[in-house]
Amino acid sequence: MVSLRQRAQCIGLSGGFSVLHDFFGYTDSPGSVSLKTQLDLLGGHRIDLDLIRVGMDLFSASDVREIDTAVYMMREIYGTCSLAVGRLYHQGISAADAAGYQDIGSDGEAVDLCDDWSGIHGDAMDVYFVLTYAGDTVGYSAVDGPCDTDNAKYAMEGSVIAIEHSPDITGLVLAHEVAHYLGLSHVNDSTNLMNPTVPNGGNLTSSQCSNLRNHCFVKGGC
Amino acid sequence: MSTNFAPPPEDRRPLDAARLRAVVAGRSSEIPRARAIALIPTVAGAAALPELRALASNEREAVGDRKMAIAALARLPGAQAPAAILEVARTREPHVLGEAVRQLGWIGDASALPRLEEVARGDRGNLGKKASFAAALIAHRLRLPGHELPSPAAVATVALGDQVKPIAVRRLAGPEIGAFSRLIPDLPPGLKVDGPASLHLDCAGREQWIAMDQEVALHPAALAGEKAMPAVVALRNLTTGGVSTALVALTTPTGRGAFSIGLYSRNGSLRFAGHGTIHGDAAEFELRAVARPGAPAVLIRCRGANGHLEITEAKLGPIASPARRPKPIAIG
Repeated sequence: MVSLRQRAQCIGLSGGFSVLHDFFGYTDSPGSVSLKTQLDLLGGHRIDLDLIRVGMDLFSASDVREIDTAVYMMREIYGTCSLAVGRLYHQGISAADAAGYQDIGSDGEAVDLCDDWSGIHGDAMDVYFVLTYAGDTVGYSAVDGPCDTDNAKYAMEGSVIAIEHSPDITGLVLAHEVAHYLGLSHVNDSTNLMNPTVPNGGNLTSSQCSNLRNHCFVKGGC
Repeated sequence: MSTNFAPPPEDRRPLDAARLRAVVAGRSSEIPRARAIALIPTVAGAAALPELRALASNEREAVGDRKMAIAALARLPGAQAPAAILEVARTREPHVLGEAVRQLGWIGDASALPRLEEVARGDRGNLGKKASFAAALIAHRLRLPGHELPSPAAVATVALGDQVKPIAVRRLAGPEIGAFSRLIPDLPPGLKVDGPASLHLDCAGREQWIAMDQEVALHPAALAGEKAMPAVVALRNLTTGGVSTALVALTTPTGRGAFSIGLYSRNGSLRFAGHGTIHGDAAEFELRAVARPGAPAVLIRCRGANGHLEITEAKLGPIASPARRPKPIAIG
């Protein structure tokens, strides 16, 4: 039977660590988390995320909790595909440095945000949380995005998610946009996660799961 | 690809103004309030102006909701929306003021300039820069004196280097030409674009249009005589087909039949810089990507004459310096 320490070492944790904050990556407890489930999933495929708060000094405690809940929901959805959400690296861009990117006014600005910034870890996918996204758009991402983000290729690198003040919506959007980046396109099925609009049923087919696991950002099992 | 908000499909009631207003008024929480605010213009049109103005002006409302209300006001048809946003711009709340300033730059008229000047004088940070840019946008769009931006000619650009790829360019064809002016819903007021003076670019998988103003396309020599906003660059969403403005061109005469040109993002960041010259009734200009973290090298050379725009050279090179990095946040 695999131990917590073995899995932790596999995902880059050593010495003393907090299970909730370091192993799971939550800032607070989003609900009842299952250590057994996460240990099992990490034996298969996993993806790590750079979670970047754009205009971090403007994020309220409620906004930060909403990110936790969104990741929790994403773990539930991806778990049905035997895909673990592994390490979460929390990062931030101050409002002064963000220079307005915390409020996305158009798709072009979302693309510019991903061009101008890059998460700290080259082997983790960049997810930018912004405070508002104008219009009826709630998120934006490249489809089948690149992995070699440190090697300066000209392609949109990352996904942009708006804080919706509705944890269920933000969770679906997070899972949906990351799935785009990992290669999935829209599907006209309101029960499917990749339906063009949210809210939706959040389900994924076995074919979609297989495609997700084949992306270059997805790491092999521990 | 983008994801949009819409009510669950099993909910067959129309998402009408009544439902949205119930959410905004706090009588319902069936959809996120900020989304309801954003959607009101699409169902209520100009009739939504009074409630959006009231929401945006209310200092007791959440900042995020006020910002969404300002963005929604900017999407309303008619001349009253700029005046409503200018009213909101009296606020001292910096983030709400920042959004009002941003939207005024896009749709405002000369009446907004005094307030924008006041904000620019009063803040040395990002808010002041936004206000200066907003004033410059109005001045260029309406060809008013003053409100100059730093010259793009002084800015360092990215050298192309050896590993260059061509950028695919083509003219618009068939149905695209007739529909073109309707394709870009957020054009600045007064800019009239048409198909013959516009070009489609495919730049490393990004589908964009350079759309030139009809009047400038017919009389490009005017660029050497007065400042202008001659063109926008629009980006296409490959999933929805929706198009939105990504960059705006601002030109300023520099004397002797020449002009400087800069392409700016909507939030005021200079992305491309260059210069142009007038030869008879034609304008030739060159643009290069501004050196900044994460920017690839780009060279575009254009010629505009007789109502047409032609790209004579378009190349894409590698990114010279890596993108900026966020700071880690310790948790727990």
